[in-house]
Amino acid sequence: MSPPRPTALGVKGMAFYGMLLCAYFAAPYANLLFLLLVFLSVAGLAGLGRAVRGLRGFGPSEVAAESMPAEGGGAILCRSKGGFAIPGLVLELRFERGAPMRIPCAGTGASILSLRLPPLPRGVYALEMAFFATAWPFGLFEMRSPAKAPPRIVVYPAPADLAAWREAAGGGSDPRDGGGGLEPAGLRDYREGDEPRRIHWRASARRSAPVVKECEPDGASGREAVLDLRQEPEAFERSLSLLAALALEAREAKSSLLLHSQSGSVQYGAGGAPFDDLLEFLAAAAPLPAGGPPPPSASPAVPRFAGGAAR
Amino acid sequence: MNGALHGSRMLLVLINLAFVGITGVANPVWLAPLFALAVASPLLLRFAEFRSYQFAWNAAVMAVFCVLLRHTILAGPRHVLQDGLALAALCQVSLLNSMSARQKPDLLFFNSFLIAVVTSILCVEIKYLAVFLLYAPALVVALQLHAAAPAGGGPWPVPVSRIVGSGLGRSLAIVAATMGVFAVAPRDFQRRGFLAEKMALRSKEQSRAGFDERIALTPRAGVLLGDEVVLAAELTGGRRVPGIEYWRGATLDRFDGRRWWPAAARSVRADREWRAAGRGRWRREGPAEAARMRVRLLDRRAGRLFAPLGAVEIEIESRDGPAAIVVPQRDLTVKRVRPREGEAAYALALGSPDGAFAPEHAGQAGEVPSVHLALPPALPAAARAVHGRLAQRIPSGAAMPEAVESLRRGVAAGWSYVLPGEEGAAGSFEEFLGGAGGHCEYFATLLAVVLRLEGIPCRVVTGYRSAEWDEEGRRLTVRARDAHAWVEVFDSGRGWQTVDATPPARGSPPPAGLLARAGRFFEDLWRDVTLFDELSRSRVLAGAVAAVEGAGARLAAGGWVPVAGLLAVFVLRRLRNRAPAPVRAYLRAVRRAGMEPLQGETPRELLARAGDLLRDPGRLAFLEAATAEHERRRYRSSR
Repeated sequence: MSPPRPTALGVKGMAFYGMLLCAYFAAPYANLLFLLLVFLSVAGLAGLGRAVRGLRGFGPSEVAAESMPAEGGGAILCRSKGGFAIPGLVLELRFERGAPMRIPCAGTGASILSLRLPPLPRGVYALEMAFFATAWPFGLFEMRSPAKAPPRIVVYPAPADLAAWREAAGGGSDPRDGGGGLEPAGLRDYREGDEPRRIHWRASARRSAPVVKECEPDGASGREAVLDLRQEPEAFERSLSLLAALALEAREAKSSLLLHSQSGSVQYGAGGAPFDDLLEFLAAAAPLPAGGPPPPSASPAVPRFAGGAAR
Repeated sequence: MNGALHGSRMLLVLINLAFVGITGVANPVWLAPLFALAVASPLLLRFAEFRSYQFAWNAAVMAVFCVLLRHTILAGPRHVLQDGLALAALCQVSLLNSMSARQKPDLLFFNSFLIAVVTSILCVEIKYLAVFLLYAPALVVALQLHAAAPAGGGPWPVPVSRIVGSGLGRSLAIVAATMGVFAVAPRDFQRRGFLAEKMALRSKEQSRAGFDERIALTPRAGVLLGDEVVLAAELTGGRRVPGIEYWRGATLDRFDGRRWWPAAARSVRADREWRAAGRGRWRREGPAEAARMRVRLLDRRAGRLFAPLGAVEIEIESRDGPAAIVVPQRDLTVKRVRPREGEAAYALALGSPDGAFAPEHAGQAGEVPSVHLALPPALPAAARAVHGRLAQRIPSGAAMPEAVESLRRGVAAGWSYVLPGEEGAAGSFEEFLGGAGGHCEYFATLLAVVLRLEGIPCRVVTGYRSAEWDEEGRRLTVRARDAHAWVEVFDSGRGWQTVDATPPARGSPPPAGLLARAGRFFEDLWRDVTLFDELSRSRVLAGAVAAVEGAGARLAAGGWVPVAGLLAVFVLRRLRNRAPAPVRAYLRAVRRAGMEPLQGETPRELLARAGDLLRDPGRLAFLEAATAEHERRRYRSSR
């Protein structure tokens, strides 16, 4: 644990104390002025002494953050040996770029605490260090305890509304059918709890009753998409949002997603790279200029995210 | 802003305004609105985000600053502290009402302490202690709330009541430690400071009652009437002679309207000078002995040996122990040159004061040194007016003693006896002439001035006056509070005569009721703090050492028996309440594994938690084994 360091208030306090000391020696001796100076000295030493003991028994500690959607915030899980019932405790995350982030820890004696990260723009935030700190009791000195933290925090694009996109894309046809993507293994009657997006509308219209698609978690029947990085920023962000939604859907369905882009063709999910890698790729993706190389070719039926709209 | 946070700062500002109020420099016309604005701050704070609102507050502060600056320029730097205090109070209220949640309250805290410091210069009465005892915990609690406040106004991580409770306890400990350090810390109590002469930074002086070789008629915040014994005298022969209650220390001849000081020795009228009569013994011609006294001077710092006017012989008794080199003076006092630590003991032979001037020397008093008739060139006109008024009461054709007595009665009856610092006390000779009350120095000064205006030579004498005899009437005790000033008038027929114009003190009745007695106790205690000096500090240290030595002696004398008994009871209780051996072994193993059990956590729960935290498989295995062993030993079957 590092030694206590003065906060901004502490530095100003020391300057103020120095000024009072000068006034004490400039003026004739006065009992009350000496009494006040002693009071300030004792209070400062008491604050320093308590600050030194502030994080005793706290560590070791650990911080874990899952990837989170942009502008949506996310959870960060903290663990500590001594519990989090320390007044004024904050978690400070220092990134390689950008301002540090301080998150107050409203904890109890339990050794696990879940904190809420504030909304962040899309990106991959490389963590330089993370530590817990408290300036208890007077806010004059701060004690820090380093925490083991992941190397980065991934903020992927906020998932778009896939249903609206599919409606606009196929007028009811599921791009996933017959053109790559997930093939339904069968149909069955709608049961309470089924997701509305699994409803097969044509079959439901024929039967006059809701019918859902039942899909098999088969990597061979996974989804496929093409991402062309040569897009305008606004369209690019929308494409990324849609791909993020597809990735999350595929992950939930335990299927796979084959993505073609200027970075290559990579299969994510069952049998391939983990979806976290895809989310990280989407978080870090940057558009290419219009004259850049095209993405790998794929079947015309594969959804293509390029130009100004996803097709 | 969080309610608890703002509430703590509001309390701090209200106490700051109370500080300003007790100084007496604040006009209620502007102090009351500041109080109201501070109390209304929770309502006004909602406007803090508006720039126009903040601008209005800043403009108000700047306007007041300009007004006060102009006042300082016109009136001089005498009021810089008072004006600064007023501005600081306004700044506090402004910060409280206009500080948004994003702004830091650093200036609020520093300004609050600055107000406490400046108030300590302007007000040293017990009121300061009362307000400070509110301020200290308020400051500590406000700082703690600031340190623990959640960012963005979210829920408090720790209950506010717990923060406030710990703050109160911590402030109590800080104040107690402060008093302890204050009592024992060595420092230079006489330090003047390099800015003392340039700025009026010194507060009204407080002083201890005691002998002083000079008199200065200046404003004083108060006087401590100490009970410590400075002189103990025992009548070893004869009877009490007149004037035995007046113990002379020094005579003062010159007066400039504000101060008295002794004239050069050659200009002082002497009656029968002291003549050496052996080693450590001095005599002067006078009447036959009427009494003998043995005196112990306990005031180690006194530069004089005290004796009544009728003393005809002094013999120093401290031959083997610490001794003081004494130099008898022409004014019949005895100076103690380079006094050493320790008491001074001496014997006195006393005759009647009238015998100081033998009749055969009558006529030699024709020439009285002018110093005993001198008056300051700038004597206030009021002094002459008072003399005129009192002189009219002298019976026509009265002899000098009757005239002196008439003037003395006039002075004693015309003014009230008031101690320095009390309500109605004069701060200067002019104020006393104007009718304010005063203490013995003022009465002696006025009588001496009136007598000199009447053409009667006189001088002021400082020393002690005491009539505290024991039941047998043989032992006299003189205390610090008995310090006194009176006048000696030169009578050409009888020599120097003691004349005292100080009326008896009003004497405040002893406090009745628990509250009044408690108030008097705290007032005395506070006076001990504000008048703390090297003597007080040495007494505190001596008392502490004596207490430790006494405790050690009691322990050695047999007090160790109850202490040992208490210790045995304590150890037996600890042994009885100790955890069983299997539990102690388990806890040792847990700590060796680097874990700390939480309250109420079972061994299995701890093991599950360790699985999440411990990365070392070896330590985890060790903890698993320790848990299993604990369960086996604790809950093994008795069969």
